[in-house]
Amino acid sequence: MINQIESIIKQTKVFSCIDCGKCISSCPLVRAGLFFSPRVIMEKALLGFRFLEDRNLWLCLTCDVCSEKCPSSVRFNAFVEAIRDLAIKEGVTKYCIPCKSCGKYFATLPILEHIKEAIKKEDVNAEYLMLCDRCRRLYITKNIYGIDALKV
Amino acid sequence: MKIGVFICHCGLNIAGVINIQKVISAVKNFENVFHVEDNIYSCSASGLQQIKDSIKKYDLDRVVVAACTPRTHEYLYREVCREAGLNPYVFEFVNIREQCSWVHMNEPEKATEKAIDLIRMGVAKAALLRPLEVKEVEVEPSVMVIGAGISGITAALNLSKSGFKVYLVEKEPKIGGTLNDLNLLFPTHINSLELLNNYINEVYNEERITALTSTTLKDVKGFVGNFDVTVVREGEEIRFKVGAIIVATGSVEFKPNGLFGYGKYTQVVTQLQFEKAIKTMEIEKVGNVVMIQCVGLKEVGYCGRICCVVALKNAILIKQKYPNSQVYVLFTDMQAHGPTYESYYKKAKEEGIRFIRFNLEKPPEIFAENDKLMTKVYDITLGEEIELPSDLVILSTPLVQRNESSELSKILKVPLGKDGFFLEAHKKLRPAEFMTDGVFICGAAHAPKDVQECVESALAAAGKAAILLAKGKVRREPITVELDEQLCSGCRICEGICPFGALTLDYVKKTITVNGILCKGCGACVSACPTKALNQNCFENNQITAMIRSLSTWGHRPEALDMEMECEKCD
Repeated sequence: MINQIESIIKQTKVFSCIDCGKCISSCPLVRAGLFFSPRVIMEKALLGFRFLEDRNLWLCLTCDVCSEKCPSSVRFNAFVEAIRDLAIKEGVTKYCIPCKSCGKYFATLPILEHIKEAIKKEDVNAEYLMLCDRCRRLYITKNIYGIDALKV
Repeated sequence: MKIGVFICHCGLNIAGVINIQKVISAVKNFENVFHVEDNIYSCSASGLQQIKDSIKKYDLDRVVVAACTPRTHEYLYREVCREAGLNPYVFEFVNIREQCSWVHMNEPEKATEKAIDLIRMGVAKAALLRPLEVKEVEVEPSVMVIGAGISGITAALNLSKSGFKVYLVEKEPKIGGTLNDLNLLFPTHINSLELLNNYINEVYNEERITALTSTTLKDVKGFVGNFDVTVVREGEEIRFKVGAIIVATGSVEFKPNGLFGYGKYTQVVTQLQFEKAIKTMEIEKVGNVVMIQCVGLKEVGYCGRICCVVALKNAILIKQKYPNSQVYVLFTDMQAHGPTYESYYKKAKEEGIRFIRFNLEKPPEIFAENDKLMTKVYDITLGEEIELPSDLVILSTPLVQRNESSELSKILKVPLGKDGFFLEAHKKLRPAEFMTDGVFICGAAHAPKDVQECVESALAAAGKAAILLAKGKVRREPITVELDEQLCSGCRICEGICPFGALTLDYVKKTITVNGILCKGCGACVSACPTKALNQNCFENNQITAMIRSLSTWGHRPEALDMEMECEKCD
């Protein structure tokens, strides 16, 4: 597994981080007031620490803003996605949310918790939140427009 | 006596504040003043021509220019005087810009008054100016280079190729200096011995270079162009004469005794020790290597500048030679300066070398655990302490000045900076030169430098020395002190005051002798002389007194009278 992480590091250029901190200052999670640092995740990967169970790894929105800002062209988004895939392969799924309909891992627990917290007062169907984006479209067409897309 | 006064407007710099017409009408009435005129820009070609024409037309014998600053323009007007057939030293500069119009911008009335007074003093002094003669002294066409490291060798080779005789003095039995101990050089990874051997062969093939190894410098006497050097080689004294001296003594690595377990554990070494080891011995396996940067920063007080790149180089070399090893570089600030070293740093990161930033307040700790060395470091990025197994700990230490350099600075009468390195005359305007004429500095004796910078600075010093030697003559500036032997009591007060060593006692005559080449005309000795035997050309005692007297007598300034009386108390 260490070799796989090593090759992900090489592919996504995580080693070339120069500690400038632009990723943190541009991260929407940090702006929303969460404690989150791409650099800590990368540092743990670089030093060979076990970090797959790290809550922070599963907090990232993969919005790619940090990669746009990075002067050393670190592709943090690609790094996080590759590491998450690796974690799922390794069986680390405690932060993964499977789609209620199709079973695909579509969201992470910290993000879902955050969304639920943010829309607590709104009237949102709990079932709708637990669907992956594909199933969500089917859900909308079926329950709101009354069309069963699978049959059409 | 016919004194001509030329007043410059300097555009609006002077004329914008001072009423020039009022000044002219006042100056016309001064004693000895024959001609007054003004110029918009007297330093322009037409302005200079106008001054030249007026000198000839009115047959003036003293010239006063009231304008900007003598620092930048004095030589220009002296040249005009010379071209007009006058001695260049019968010229007096009055500064009415920096010392008048600029500082009294808001008080034009008073500024005008002050300008008149300043010119009054200038005129009083000009009446007493004496023509002076510029003398020239021959230069010995040879040079001594102290230290035969890469800088010394480069300087010696370039000077010998320019046709000058070179004495290359080296304390060690072998020439080459620190390069003998290095492994591969960054960033091209060229073998240092290969590079050095080319240079050494060249030195021994060059007939104009005399390489004096196992030789120490004993004494240097004389002045620019004519240094008498005494060196000691195997107990025997050798004397020779040189025109210039280049200091290329280099520097040594800081020994971090007591820091990070250095001296306590054998696995803790410095970068230079590691380079020596990896060059001579075949190490089978290195395992986990931890490099610590900025070692001794608090002790020496400056950034070593090259140690970061040295660490990068050794880390890359380890990783290339032993791919299974893991290299950690603990750093505070990575000084991989310039595009070359920036890409070098990136390369090191690509090779898989891990960089951990630590805080100088919380330095790493080295400790032994079950016969294995461990490094504990507080990782700033992680915000927690981590422990790294360390089979080898390499400390990156800065270059420091040699112990012998203070002795050398006394022999050559050149200063050391507060960090212990030799101090050049001016960082930008006079690099590679010392305040003492004819002595030049290059290489790592001046500041921590890598090989490339050493070679560059050696070429600079060699170039400067070649200018002096190729000219063949040194100008003897006439604005120096002159001695009245009749008055000199030989008290030797001035000898201790002179910062340039220009005054020495003649034991036969029991009076002081002035070395006109060494004298820089600072005037410190003149004010110290109890018998008024010393007199500074162009700033003679009677001229200064006349300036003050003109102010009190004609300028109606009672405070100047007090000053005059104070001044005369001295007499």
